[in-house]
Amino acid sequence: MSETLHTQKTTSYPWLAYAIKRLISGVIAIWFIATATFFGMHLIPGDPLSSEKKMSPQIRKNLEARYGLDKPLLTQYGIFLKNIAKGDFGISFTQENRRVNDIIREHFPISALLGVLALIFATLGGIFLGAFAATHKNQLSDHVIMLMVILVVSVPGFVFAALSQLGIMKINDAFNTDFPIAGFSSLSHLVVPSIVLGLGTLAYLTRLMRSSLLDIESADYIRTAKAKGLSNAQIFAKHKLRNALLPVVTVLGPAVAGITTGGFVVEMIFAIPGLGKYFVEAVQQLDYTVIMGTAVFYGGFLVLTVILVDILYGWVDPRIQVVK
Amino acid sequence: MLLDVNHLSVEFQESQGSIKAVRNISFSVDKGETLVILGESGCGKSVSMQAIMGLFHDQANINIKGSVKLHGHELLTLNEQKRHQIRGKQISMIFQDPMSSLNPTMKIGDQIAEVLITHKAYAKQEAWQEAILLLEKTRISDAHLRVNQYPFELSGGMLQRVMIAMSIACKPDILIADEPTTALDVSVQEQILDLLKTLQAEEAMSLILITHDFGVACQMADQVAVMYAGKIIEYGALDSVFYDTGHPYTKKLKASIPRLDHPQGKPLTVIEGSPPDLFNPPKGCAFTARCDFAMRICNKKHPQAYTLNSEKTSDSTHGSPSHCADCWIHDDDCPKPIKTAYRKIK
Repeated sequence: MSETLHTQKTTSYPWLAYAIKRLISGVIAIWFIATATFFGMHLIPGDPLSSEKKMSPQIRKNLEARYGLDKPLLTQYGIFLKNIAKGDFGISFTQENRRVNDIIREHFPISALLGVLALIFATLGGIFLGAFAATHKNQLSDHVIMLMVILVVSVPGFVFAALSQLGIMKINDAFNTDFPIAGFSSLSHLVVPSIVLGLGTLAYLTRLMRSSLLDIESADYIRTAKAKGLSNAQIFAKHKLRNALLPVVTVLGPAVAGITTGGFVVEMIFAIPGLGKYFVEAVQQLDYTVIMGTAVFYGGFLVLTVILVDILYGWVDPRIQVVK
Repeated sequence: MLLDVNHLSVEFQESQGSIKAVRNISFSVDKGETLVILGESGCGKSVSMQAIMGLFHDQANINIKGSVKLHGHELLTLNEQKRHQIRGKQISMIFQDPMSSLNPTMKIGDQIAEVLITHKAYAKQEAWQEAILLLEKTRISDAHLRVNQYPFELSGGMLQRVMIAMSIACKPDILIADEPTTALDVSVQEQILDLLKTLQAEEAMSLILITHDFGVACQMADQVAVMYAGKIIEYGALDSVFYDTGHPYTKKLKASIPRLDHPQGKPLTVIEGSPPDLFNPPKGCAFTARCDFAMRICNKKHPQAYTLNSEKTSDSTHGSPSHCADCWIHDDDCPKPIKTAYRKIK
């Protein structure tokens, strides 16, 4: 709160001041991610050219010169920083003449769509199931939900991915339907992958929502609401729900990160041509420019998400409104 | 009588047994009258009030016995819907800590308007206008700005005014104030008590005020009920209880009011010891262990309520019940020297 007062006093555009402050810290975070990835990547033995078939030293030398790999590491780092400052991630090593910017532009929307669907499924489902479990505390439905939650949290996502593919196959066989198992050509291809992708987050949010609602149950202001003569439904909708959502909103940032990284695996299993698939392949083939491009891009994306979540948080909880 | 409470008992069922938080208390409040319930922490003051409000009703582990009648209608057996209609409209309550008693994520105006919308079917616009008027009644500064603020932007004293505005929104017959000033600093305490007194007169409502401060009782009360370990051990008009104190516990409470002329360096008077365990309340008088006048009988049997100097209370304007105290010291068989010694102390 003191931060709020401060920005309000120093400038007449508190929003702007806040945004600039957050963006500067965001840029520093991205620089850190870029640097760590850059040097980490170069520590891995081999380089993008070593996976190619045998080539003569002369050709290799020419290629190194073309991609700038012959320069000292620090010079490469400098060039790389200069390029990303201009927004240019370079050309892919493994996909002939394809610019990393184009790869991101073409494939990120698919990943984003998958991620957004998964996030919506996880958030709405988590809030609903958590609220349901809390209002049926210690009843059979609560126990069943909590058991499922533990199951989902403890089994890795790729198991559910494989199981769901098996399930779709069996259903298609049994009912003579043609529900997509993998690939991406229509929105219906994303239904199962987004459910699988959101499942872990959903389970986590369910637990969080349940305990948060049960905590609020004994809050003083709920007693006040009862003393005012509000019905249980009114108390739930107007007093409990919003306050119970606070912890859920807090973890939305990390949840987005979780879904983003989880997306890499889900995209591989379901053969969805999203950016995650390229990222994983790039790491396997040491495609330096694609690794750096996607890492920096994802870093920037997550930094922006966290800033957005902070703003959203202020909207849900006026006490920590970043700017008034 | 406006409010009649008879043989009210509240028990909390816990895994280790049951806590007998309120044990068979009876009192009544007349229209426009102030009853102060006095006692130290954990003696059942708040619990009894929350039981009257029906705030425990959805909790299965809480056992409530006895009868609470408002205008002659039993409250304890009401169904959920009827109870909602009475709470906040005919009986309302304000709580100890205003900082945590208001919803932190809801505007002040909404929180007040909510009462009017629920009970009086006001439109939102109307209710907000009324909320500003109500806040002005509580003498809060800039009421029209406050409605748009959130609880964290207001001080404790202002929040308690908001709570008061909320509780008088529907002109209730009875306002229960559960230690409304404990969380506030002394100068604000004074203002809040004054405000309660003025509003009570303006709205002709009855007030039940819970406090552990005998000073507050003297300032506010018509009637005083002193509670100890879940029982009312002394009950009567303020003057009578203050000047003709009938229970050693009340005397000690009185003696522990800090005085301005208290000699410097001398420790303040305290009541030694602590209240008994309510899992297993003593068979006899619960105060025996801390009492200077304890006799053998005190441990064995709880004394009946002895009526004291009935001629003095009979001229009370409200026709209120006579002054009673649960103490063996008033028994005819109590030895003279003990009676004299009791009378001697302040």
